[in-house]
Amino acid sequence: MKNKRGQELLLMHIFYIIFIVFILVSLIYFTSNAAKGEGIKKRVGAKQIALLLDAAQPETIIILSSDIPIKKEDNQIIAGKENPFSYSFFSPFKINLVAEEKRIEISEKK
Amino acid sequence: MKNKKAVLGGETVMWIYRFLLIGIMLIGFIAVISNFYSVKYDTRPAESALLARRIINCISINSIVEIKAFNSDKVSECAGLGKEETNEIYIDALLNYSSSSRVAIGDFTLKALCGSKGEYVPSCLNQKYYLLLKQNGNLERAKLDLLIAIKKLEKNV
Repeated sequence: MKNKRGQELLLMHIFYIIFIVFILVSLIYFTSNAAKGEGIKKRVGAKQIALLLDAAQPETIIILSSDIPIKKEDNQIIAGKENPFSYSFFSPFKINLVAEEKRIEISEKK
Repeated sequence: MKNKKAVLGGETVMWIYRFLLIGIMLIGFIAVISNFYSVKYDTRPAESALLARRIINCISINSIVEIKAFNSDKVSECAGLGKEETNEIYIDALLNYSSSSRVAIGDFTLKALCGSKGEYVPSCLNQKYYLLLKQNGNLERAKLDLLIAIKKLEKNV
């Protein structure tokens, strides 16, 4: 004679274990994604560069070591390709961004 | 003899309790992680300090400011603000000497919000600089009250 009740209990426990494993995996994925999130890198990168440019004096060359693609449009620094983050800077000087070489050159006048 | 129905009901309640417990833990965990990693980096105080330094260094040489150099065109040129920036920034420079002279650039409504409490308010910097004013070849003492208000709420708050 089959123990129907035992089977039900076993199934419930298996379902419960699968459920917990699924939640744990999702949590680990969510945490690691948040920790090394591109969003934060882009945000921090763009703001750091903007602040550097705010403070930079003419005849300065800034070499970027970040692996995030950086662009410059007018007085905006744009970091990242997908969902880029832009941040504005102020500078009375001419700013030239050589994107391939990840180099920013600041020279005297606009 | 056991009451079968009661046992079944008790177990169901236990399962609900277990799932509820996991749910609460999950929500707590996600809340802590998102709160930790969604910290906003407010760079506006640093920006306003840099802007103030840039303006002062540009309009004065060795703390001597010429009255000719104290006008909105010169201050605007010194600040190097872009077109969009003028909606996000307000610069108010009041130079007090035997007379007084004022330069104001940007969105003046930001000034009214300086000193307000709350998260969604502009970041304001009030600085006083003691300078010498050169006018008609003569030097006189002057005080510059510089107010810089930066909005940029979306990207900082």
